Amino acid sequence: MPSDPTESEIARRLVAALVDRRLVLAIGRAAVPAGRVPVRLGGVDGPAATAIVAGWTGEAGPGALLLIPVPRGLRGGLTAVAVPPPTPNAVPPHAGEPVPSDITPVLHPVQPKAVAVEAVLKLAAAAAGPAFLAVAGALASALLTLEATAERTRLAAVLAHAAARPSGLVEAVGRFAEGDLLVSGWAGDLPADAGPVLVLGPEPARGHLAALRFPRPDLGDGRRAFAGVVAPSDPAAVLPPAEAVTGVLVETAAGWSALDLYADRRLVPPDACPGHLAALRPPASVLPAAPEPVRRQIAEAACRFTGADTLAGLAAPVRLGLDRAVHVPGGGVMLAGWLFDPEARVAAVEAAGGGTAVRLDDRWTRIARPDVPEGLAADPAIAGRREPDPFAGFLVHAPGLGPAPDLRLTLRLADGEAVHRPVAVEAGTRADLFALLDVACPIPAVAAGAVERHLLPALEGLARALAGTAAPRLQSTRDLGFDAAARSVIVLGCGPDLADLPARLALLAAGTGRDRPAVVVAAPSRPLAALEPEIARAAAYAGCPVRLAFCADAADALDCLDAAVPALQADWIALLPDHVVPDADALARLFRAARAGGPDCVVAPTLLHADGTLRAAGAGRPGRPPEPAGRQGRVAVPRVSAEACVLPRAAFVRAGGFRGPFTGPAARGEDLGRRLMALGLRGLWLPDAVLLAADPPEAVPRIARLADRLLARRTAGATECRPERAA
Amino acid sequence: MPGSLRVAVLSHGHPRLSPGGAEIASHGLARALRTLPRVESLFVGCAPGPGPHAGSALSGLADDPGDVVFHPGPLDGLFLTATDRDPVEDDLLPVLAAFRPDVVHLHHGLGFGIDLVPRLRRALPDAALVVTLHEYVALCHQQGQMVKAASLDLCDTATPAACHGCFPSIPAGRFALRAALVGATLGTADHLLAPSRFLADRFLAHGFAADRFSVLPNGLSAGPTAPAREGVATGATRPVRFGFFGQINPYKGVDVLLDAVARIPDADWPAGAELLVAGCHLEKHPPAFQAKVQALLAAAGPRVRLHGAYANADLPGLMATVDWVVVPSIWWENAPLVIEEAFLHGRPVIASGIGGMAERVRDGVDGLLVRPRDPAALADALVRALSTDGLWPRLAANIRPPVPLEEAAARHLELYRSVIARRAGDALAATAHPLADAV
Repeated sequence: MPSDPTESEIARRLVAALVDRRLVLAIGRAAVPAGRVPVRLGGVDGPAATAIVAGWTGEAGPGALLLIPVPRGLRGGLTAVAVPPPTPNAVPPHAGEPVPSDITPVLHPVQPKAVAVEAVLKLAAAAAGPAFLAVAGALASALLTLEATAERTRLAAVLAHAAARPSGLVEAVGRFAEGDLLVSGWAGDLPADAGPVLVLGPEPARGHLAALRFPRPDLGDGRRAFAGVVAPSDPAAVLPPAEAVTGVLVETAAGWSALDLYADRRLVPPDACPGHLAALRPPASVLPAAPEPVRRQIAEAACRFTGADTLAGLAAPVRLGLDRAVHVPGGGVMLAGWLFDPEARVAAVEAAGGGTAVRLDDRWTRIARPDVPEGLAADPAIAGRREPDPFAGFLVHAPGLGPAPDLRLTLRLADGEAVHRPVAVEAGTRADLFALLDVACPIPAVAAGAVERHLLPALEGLARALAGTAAPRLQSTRDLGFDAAARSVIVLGCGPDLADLPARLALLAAGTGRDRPAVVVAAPSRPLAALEPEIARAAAYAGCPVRLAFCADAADALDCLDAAVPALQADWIALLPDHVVPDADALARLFRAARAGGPDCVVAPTLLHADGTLRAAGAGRPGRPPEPAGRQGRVAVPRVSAEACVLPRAAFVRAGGFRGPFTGPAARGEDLGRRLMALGLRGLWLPDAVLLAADPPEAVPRIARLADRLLARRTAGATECRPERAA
Repeated sequence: MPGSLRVAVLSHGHPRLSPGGAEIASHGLARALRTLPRVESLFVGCAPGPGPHAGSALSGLADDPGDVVFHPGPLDGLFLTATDRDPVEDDLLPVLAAFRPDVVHLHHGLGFGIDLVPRLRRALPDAALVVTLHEYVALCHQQGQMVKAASLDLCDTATPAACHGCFPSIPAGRFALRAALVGATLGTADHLLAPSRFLADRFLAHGFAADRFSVLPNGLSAGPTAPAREGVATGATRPVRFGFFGQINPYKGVDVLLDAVARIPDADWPAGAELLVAGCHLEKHPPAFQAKVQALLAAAGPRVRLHGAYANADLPGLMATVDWVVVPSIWWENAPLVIEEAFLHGRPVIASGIGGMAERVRDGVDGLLVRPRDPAALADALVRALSTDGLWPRLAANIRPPVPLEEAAARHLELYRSVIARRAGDALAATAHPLADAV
């Protein structure tokens, strides 16, 4: 522990203490300029810095306390400080500026041995005498302007407490759910504007107090009641819990004031803080003039959300209904509802919870809801009021929000008030989002806009979230004659309905020879386990060697392909989801074409749908060549669908499989095709390899189709096709 | 028997248990094959329900000790595949392996399941596989009738979309899978047979390979024939008695026939004229159909005589009581046994002019053809038969008798040998699964 310096040492040198690693508190016994003073560290040619200096002239001569910032990497330590000489009536140079050449700085050596901060303060108090209070107050204020550290805040609290004079009492204290403090009581000289405070407790904290001051009958002259909010001075700061608060030091124009804690102070629970503040807040008519920012801050705090539905009690003709709120992981919250506000009382609508708030009314899509005014006709507060248009409905995506217990909708009214309605959010899937939009947006054009603005961001967020956590995965496998070393493998992707699987295996195995293809049945674990004996027998009966791949977190056939493929050793895989009818001959030609095409190609068939329509290379719309039925041989295509195709297994894995924001199998296949092309693979189409396709087992909802189309439009480019060479 | 040809005939039913036309034809074929020199045959007929003897799906019949009755268990109603494959694996295949057939001739896709064909291919790689298709169940989920489910209108082509229209609860994709599975499994047979050109054309139109598809009519056992009623052949007695033989169901058109009979004016319905309805199973059909038939029977009154169910042995006696046989089916039919039986007994046939009926009956030559589902047209034909002098003898004289069983067996034997020869030629080229060289 450093020993206290002797008087002789102080007389000759600065005696210094480390406040923290970057700030030194020093005491000197010489006259130095006060305020922010440019100094040189180590010598007159040393690094420049700006010291904060508060001095005194006492019976024992002049002296000063200096707060000296220490730059990172100061060579040799702080051996001396060059300070401009005191020049009465001269303005010291600005911080950072060089000391003018005609001014010769005074070099103050620093005692090599550091002492404790308390020792420096003790010396200063002794040397400065009564002037110490002003010195301490000035340094406390200055410390609050520096970058905050716990040590500096503690020092500021010590100095401010030493300097403060008792000014009033805190009679009630509470901490809002948001972390700021409610304080109320009385004081003699609180500033009107918001200003810095130090909240005393086990660990002092910096804050800003905004308080309304108002008369109270029980208070004498010069004293006024106050009610206010202490906000942390920066977002990272944490104020002490209400029960730990021991006092508040307020910086005023006249110095520091101390608001001690009333012995019988009231502890206000978090959910009661807004109400307590609102109850204390006097009518505007009796308020002395208060700065507008302070008024707003207090008003905002007084109507914070406490879990109660304050919208229900609103006298103004404002009504809000929430039809559905769906949260999807990573995708925020999708809200559908209506707002009836015939007198335009609402200035803003936001959704908030879990520390995040999202303004809604600047992003939502308004939707015609003629049923809303009809439904409110019997509401006496509405009394025939009507909005100028029928667009009372809304649909909006609130990104970043989740199922927080304090999730609510907040209506900010034009008069500064805010009312809230708690939101019960349901955990949903992408299917729930589709259902929500399907109901909310029956008109196609509105739906398209809503999908673009609200659904796509949610789906993209969901896809990102799922990529990290709930990705389909392979739980286990069971090989039934399956050759794990097979270089080419057909992967049958299945959804939960496995009723057709025996038929698909029989179809795949039907042939005239004895060599059978290696087949992987990738299916959701539960149905596959339930039907495992039946499938095993069906495979054996058909003479089809299979691997059963039990997939977890897989909702459909493509998910199962995602899960099963990475565990294979094969070079080439044929992807065959359950809406595509297996055809051994067509698959054989696809494999042959792939081998002939080289290790960097994806070979897609022509998909013939049950209604007689064709999908060339699996790609609809721009990818359709003029005469798909008549083409033969491999055709190079710049875009290919991987929905059902033959491709290198490694490429499938590298491209990330079917993951992404798309929903329908066709769209997911095209998306994977795009990613494969981006990896440098070549797309080949085998027009005369025709695979029968059907609608997927689960029909793709209208909204999902719309979303897929809009997503594809973002990424799809023009497509052309040209023959690669004759087969 | 050294050097003999061994033929296993597998049928979807045994005629003693299920006396349908295909069962009778296949069983007769197996019997007739045995009569040919250097030919051995084994008949395996399916029977419903579990095997009667514990631990085995096989049993025999006291009256036909050489036959094997097989209890395969239920089929998948849509895909026509076996749902319990153990009976095949544990019981049927060992029996066939022990028989060491040169030819396995499977009749009908039903019974064993169509996936038996590729299973047989693997189990008996040296045997020729021949499949006779007796109707359209492989194409049509509507009980193989090729009629629309709701309206019973005739259907020309089974497409996944059209089938989904008949069965909205079944996605079109499943019908696509069904069609592909049927094509692939039957495609593993060496040869396909149809008893009628019409049926063969239907399958060819649905993509089956023509080079491995032939038409061979079913044979019919040439038992005792029913003589014409006294005086009918000479014209001394008017041929005024009609006979309907078959199941009383919506597809056989008995309601159309009853309607036609009821609407013939008394002036055109001579004394003694009569319609004999020999058939059963009305009670198995929807109440609406039952009510309709009952109402039509009431309207026809004494013009109609109901006989009910009959055994095959009863047929000559029943046939002896009628002059004409009416086959008013509203579906295509294939090669209706009742027409062969009518011709066997020398009775001209009045039939719907579609499908297998129009192929066998020549209008104005050996019978009369009418528009299907048209009671008025059928009534006109009945009146014509009742009132036209000399018509009956002329048509009866032109009747082409059915192919005798022995001749049918000989034709089948010829086909078997050609298939075996072709297989031997094919064997020069390596046969492999289409994916064998790809994987």
